Amino acid sequence: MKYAIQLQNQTLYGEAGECLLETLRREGVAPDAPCGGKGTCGKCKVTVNGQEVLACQTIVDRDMTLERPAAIAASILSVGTDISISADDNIMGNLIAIDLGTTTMVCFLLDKTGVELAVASALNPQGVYGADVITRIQAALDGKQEEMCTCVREGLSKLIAEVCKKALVSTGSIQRIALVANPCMQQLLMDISPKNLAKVPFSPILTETKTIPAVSIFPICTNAEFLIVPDLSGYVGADTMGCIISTEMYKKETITLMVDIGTNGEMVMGNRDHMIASSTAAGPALEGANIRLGMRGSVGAIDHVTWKDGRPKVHVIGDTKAVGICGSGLIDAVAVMLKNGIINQRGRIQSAQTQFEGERAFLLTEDIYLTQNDIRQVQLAKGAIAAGIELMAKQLGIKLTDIDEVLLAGAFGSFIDPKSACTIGLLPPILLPRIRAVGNAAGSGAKLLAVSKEQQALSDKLVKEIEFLELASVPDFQRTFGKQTNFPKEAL
Amino acid sequence: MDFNELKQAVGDLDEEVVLDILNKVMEDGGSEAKDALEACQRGLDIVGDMFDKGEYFVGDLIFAGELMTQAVDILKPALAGTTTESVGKVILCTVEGDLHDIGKNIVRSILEANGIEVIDLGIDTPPQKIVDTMIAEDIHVVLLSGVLTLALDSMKKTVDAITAAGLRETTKILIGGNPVSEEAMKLTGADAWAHNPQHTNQACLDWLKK
Repeated sequence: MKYAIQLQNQTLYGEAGECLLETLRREGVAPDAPCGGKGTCGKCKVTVNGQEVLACQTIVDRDMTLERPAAIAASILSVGTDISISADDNIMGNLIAIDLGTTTMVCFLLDKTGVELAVASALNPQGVYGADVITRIQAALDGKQEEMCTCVREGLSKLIAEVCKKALVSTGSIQRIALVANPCMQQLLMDISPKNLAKVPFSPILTETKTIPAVSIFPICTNAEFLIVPDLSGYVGADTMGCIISTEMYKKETITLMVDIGTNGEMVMGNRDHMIASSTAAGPALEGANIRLGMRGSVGAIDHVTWKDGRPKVHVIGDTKAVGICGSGLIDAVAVMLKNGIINQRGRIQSAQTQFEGERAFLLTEDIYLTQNDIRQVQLAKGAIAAGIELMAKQLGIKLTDIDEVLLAGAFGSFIDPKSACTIGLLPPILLPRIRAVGNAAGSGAKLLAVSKEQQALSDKLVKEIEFLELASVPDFQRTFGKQTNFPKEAL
Repeated sequence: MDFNELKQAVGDLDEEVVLDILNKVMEDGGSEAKDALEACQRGLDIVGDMFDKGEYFVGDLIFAGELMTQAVDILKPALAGTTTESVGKVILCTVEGDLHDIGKNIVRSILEANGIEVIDLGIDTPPQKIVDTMIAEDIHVVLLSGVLTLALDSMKKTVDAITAAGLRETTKILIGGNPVSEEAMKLTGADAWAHNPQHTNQACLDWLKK
């Protein structure tokens, strides 16, 4: 028995009794479900026969007329660091470099000299299986591995076809594909079970550079080889390797701290003599998930908040009415709330504020607010990253002031206001003048790896040299983390 | 010595003041160490209250736990000879399949500060290991911690293993952590549940004193 589902001018068919989210997933029109369809995050809202419901909690048991919010194009960061690319002489064809993120994917087409011909990006289609790596691992272990593998391969194939079309070259002209990703994304793409990532000691599987025929993954790339970039640990992946390579921090005598804040905060600290990598379970809060009115940085998201005439003043992407708040807006909002005494140093919203469903809250606009729990989520994320930085410095035997430069990689790092990040202590306030955003450094790394065997050899060398610090096993971790969930005492 | 000030400082999580007072207590070898420890325990009650009210959150509990461990360490030399006997022994662990131990560690420091001897079996603990330890150490209070929703299954498996070993009648079981609730307690067959370490502490004290 099937029911008809009208969506705009399209008719889909759902099996009686199945979950609406499943139907939409099958048809490739599913909304995001950061919680993986448990009904807890409230993000897969659709309108069924005029009534707002959660797709994951709705059973297909009648014909439906469906409306869903217009697919919101998230702004995806494709611009990388300024790097000089010198390609090997013996490359005859075109090259592809891919940054496969948990949330977004970016694909670059390069000619044989490494010059960028085209770029395309899209959301990772696995988003419907959950927002973060942990939910994805659970989904894969619950029997969804094959479909997750297929959907990301198809998604990337589309991007490859798109960049080739843009540049008027054939997909057969591609000679090599270099892809960077975190270990979970990498393994799911390769159809390797991520069960190693669900158990201590979280050992990585892909630990050395390897090439395989690309056709086994992307059937349209008949003549290419596919480059597997090694992972540093189960939670510090080839994408971090890409950042290390493109920022050239491994060459410097001075100490660099590279921070890639995403769902996991990956961090590398050190210089040419000694580098330490680690990852913190920052959680997806800073990307807008787990936040009541959180969303990605797309049209309608509050992306910046300042304080004017005794009240918050917001900036909304696309200059439209605000529908939610994204990570950069969240950091700003918490910073202004802290500076203006709306929250105390422990993150408690002071009692004079509004209440929502029994929870304290603070209104940023007429209808966009942050709840007490939202603030707590920020504190946990902030605490994890700040504790990581503190403990890595200790491990290297340096003071925070010895850090010469703080490089922020990734989308989040490009959009946050460093001053707000320091105000809430996400980054050490003392380092504010030394912070610099480096854009999609992972993608830049993928480009370098695509064009040069020397860089590939370098990544194999770095994998062996870089020390991995498991933060949770440092005796002082718990204490440092607990302390760092508070905001800094001194106002910036 | 103003033990009210100490109590309040613990309640405020004011590390500097707490350590300062404790070090003063130890200046004469710690003749008042027992009173100091008790003040710290009462301070923890304040922390528990603040947590219940939403003024504090889990980050503050973590810090409170660490602060108590530090406090006990400072007072220990003076407490050794006195009559602070162990109230009793409990088993504490994170259940099988779950690797999160922050919550468990907070509970351990708070129980220890209250004179409870804690056998900590660590993370990812198989039910059989818990049963074996119960028998070997003659323990009748078991505390199961977990963060993942999956942990509820392991909690149930552990309770079942204790029942199968014929120990259920003489054992009290408490579950704690993110996924637990009144419902989860019924589902797993445990005797009590807690989100607040002070509640866990109170349950243990009640059970052990019987």
